[in-house]
Amino acid sequence: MSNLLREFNHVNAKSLDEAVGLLSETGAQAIAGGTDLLGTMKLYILRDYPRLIVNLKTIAPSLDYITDQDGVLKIGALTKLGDIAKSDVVNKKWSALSQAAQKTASPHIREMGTIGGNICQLPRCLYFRKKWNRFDCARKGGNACYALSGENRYHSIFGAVKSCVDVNPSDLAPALVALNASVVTTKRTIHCEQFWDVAIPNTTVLAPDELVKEIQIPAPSSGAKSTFIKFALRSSIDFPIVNCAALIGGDAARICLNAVYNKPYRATKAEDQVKGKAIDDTVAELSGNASVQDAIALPFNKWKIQIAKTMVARAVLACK
Amino acid sequence: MTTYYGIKDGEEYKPWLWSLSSAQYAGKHGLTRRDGLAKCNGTAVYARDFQMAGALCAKSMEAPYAHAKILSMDTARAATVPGVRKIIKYDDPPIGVASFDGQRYPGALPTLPSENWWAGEICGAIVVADNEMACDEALKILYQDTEWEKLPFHLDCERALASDAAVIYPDLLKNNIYDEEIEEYGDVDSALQSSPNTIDVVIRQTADSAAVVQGACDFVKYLHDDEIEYWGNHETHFLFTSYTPVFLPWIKRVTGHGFVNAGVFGHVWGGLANHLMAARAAKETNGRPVKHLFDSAFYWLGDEVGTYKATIGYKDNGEVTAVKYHHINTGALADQLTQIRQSCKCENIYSKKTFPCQNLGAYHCYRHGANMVLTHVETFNQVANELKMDPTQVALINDGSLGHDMAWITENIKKVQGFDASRDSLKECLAIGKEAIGWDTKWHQPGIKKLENGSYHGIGFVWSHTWYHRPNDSNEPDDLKNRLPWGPLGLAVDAFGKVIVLGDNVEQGVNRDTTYASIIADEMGMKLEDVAFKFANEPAEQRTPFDFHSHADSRGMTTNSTMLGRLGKKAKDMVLSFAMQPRVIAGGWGGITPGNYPPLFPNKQPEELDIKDSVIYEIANPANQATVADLAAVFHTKMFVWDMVPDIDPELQTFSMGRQCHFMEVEVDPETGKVKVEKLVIVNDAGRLISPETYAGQQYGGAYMGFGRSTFEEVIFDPTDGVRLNDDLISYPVPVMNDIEGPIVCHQIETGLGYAAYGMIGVGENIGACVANLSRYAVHNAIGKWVDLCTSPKKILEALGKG
Repeated sequence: MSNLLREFNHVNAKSLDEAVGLLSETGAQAIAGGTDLLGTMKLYILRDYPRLIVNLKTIAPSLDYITDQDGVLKIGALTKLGDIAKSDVVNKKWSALSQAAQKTASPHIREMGTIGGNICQLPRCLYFRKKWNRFDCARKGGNACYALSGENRYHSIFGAVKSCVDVNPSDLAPALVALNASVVTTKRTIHCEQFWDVAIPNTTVLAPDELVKEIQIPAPSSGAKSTFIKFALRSSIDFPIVNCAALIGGDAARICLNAVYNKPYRATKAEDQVKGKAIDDTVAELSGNASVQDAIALPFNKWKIQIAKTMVARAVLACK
Repeated sequence: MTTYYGIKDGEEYKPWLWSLSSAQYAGKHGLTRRDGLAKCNGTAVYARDFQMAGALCAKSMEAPYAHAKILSMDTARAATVPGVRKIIKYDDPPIGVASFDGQRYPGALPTLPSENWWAGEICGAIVVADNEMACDEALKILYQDTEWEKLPFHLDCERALASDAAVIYPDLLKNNIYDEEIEEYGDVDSALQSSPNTIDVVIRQTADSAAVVQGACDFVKYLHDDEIEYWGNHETHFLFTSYTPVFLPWIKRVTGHGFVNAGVFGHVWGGLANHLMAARAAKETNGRPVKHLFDSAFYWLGDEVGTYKATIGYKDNGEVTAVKYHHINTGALADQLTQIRQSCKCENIYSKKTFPCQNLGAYHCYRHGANMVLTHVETFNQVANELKMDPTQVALINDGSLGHDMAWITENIKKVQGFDASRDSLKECLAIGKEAIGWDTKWHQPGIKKLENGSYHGIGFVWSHTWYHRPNDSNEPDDLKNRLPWGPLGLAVDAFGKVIVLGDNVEQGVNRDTTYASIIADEMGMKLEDVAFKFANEPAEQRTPFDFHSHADSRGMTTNSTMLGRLGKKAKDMVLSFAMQPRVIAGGWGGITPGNYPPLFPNKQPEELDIKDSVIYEIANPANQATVADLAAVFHTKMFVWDMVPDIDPELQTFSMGRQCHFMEVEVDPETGKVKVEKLVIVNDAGRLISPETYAGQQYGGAYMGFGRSTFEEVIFDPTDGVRLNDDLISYPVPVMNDIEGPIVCHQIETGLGYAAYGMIGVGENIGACVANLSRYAVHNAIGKWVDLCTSPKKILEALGKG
């Protein structure tokens, strides 16, 4: 089957209100960078094809900005990943986010993809993404998770949610969780630990007519250091096999894994191992081991437990 | 004067003894690629870019299961999609002939099978419509309106051979063995029994992908009821000229063209299938041209899947005395013995090849060869490991060809046939490669060198002979060769003194134009820009009766350079012969007054003249000169020569003497299984280099391709339905430049030990095939454990007991 786009209507939204109004229509989809949406449309992976595409890039005032406002980092939803990666403001205090943006996808995609799109992207499960909705899985409203009984080398090591063993593929998500960020939408402010969910087919708690406006990240406490590390098959472009972000120091000990569970996985048991302790190899190893204490391997993904453990230990050490 | 310029009497059929008439371009760096601009700025016309006036679009149903049978199909709804012209169904009256020994693909195609043998295979129906979108819409409905019965399938070759395995084609076979072949040289059992040492080895290799960037695309246009013209983007499209009448007997005359190729190589039957679908669709739509698109060409596998077993006998010095192989695989090219026999002195080799029926997908020799090299390399590297010897020493001890050692080949081949007997390809390749990688200081026993960062250091080595070492080095069966449309090359000089070489070909992105032009320019003494090629790559171009003997496939340079070399020599003779002829100008063309004019070089003989920079001059008096254009203005209507590839006695070119060796230095992270390439060194014996940059391009490309195949490229199947899950360039990880962190260092040597023109040896898929095994040895040297191919992080962690 081809990768041709089918017909759809396209509207350049002039304001957030207009965008939200348009998105309340059936079959409407928002587009920012489009690096995820266009892929889903070209491969016809979903049950329904969008009838209306609402372009957010034309909204005024623009949602493309990065500011440090009284110690709170504010990033507009349409800010490109490349700009976040290159921002001195971000890198200065919130380096985990800067590193995560730098390690997302490829330079071309980083110059198109936005932070809002990155945290709302759809699953990358091979069954979910198979062309022409070949597998109408639980995440699309079907009855089965094909990966659970099939090929699951890249899937969850912490069990299923709503019968799905997919993993959240975002690189920015664990950094935002570790950095204690909040997501400001057109309806509310959501702490990022409550932002992701296992919806059909989405990965967030957003309502269909709800848009991300801004990300807000408090300044890390004095003495805290943050980092992000990623393991992927290719260092050039791949989605993560496992990634991990950590914010450790001062009174902070926040560690978040991703690509290991349906949602970013806050490794609280790992955090317990580092709280109040000077970081050294032993603490890092204990933390890594603790992070996968509750892991349950599927038939083909035991190797991911080893990698997750290693990512946590290395993230902890990087915050030394 | 000899028949051909510069070829001595008796050497006409020994092209390795030829020398270039000049070397202004051959071997030089920095020549502008004639095909480069169009490919960089996007103006090169690829198959799917092309639109033909009045053409319809056709697409075939692609099976959604690894093995299934259509119970029913209702086309009524699909037929109502606007733009749909015709739906050809599996139970429509058959068209064409559905018989062909051997491979599945063409056997079923003209009649459209109702039972498929792999997920993604063409079956069930062809939709013909005004445009691609309408085809897609109709097919989507057809999938919903088709009832399938799922049938047993196998994705694992060993499982397929198990005694309790379901027989997947019971109507055709009693078990799941499609074919079995045995070859033996020498007396293997006796040699194994008398060997001081033996070792048993098993290697398993997972499937990799063709990973094509452009699916198959074929146009067919009926010129008459019994005559078609076609355009295909397949490497071997020229074969369709011969095969079309075999399957579609009403077609009596076929003219074929090739597009600029974007990655549809090998797997003749897959390409042919697409072509035949186009021909059938065009037949059933009143002869309107049809463009048939096959989007799932990505499903074609790369040919490297199987289980390879060996019992190796060897002496304490590392000399292999006998090998007994059992290969279980389904590659399009499963000729594992060629590589080891061509590059070792072992006389006793036995091979049993078992081909199991599987439902993995079409095998596609797009990336073939790794399994062939694996057999060879594994044999010697395993012996080196057992003896704790340096594997490069074991390679040298065993170097030879067809059961003879290098000393014998030097005395009986190199000296007798006029090669430089002082050259030793493997020794020279090893010396350069070991120096470049720092082998003597870095190689160590496996699993003993841990670095400060916690990773293991490893270094690996592979070697093989360098195929294709002779013109016409071919695996095609005789019946196929007899049907090939290969013709002679033509060469004309136009009225402006420009040289035009006529010969159809397939453009495959290997800087063909500049390389070929360099040979003609140097042989004739022309400026490079005065040499052009007339290829028929686009529908706008008319095919000529002239053909390159090798259509830019694996044997491109060894075969075509030999054609071009002699053609260029012949053409130079021809040009110089006109230089002393009176110029009779009958008409007033070009402002020249009619009349009889003296020769440009009166009273001179051709051997007193030469050509440089498109200017003819007297050797003894270089100031006496005239341009080739001056000559051509009068004689161009007569300035034409043609030539075939020299018909060289194969007995003179049996033993392979060119070698290649490649080295990889890695760090292996034992906590993640990640392989970080610190350095990759590629060394090939080119025999004689024409375009160093084109050659290096093959080396770099092969290095990346081989690295990916070796380390993480792996096709993932759904075990329940047998559907391939990672079938795009996001989910199937093909490496890019940033994925090799260390440098790639490419070296070429020129020993002149090839049998092609000037002693040239091919490069083709050599490097990709060799490097595709390289990480196995580097990783083993690092962690001290053997890891099956591909050596993915998952497999490395499992080998370390951590996955």
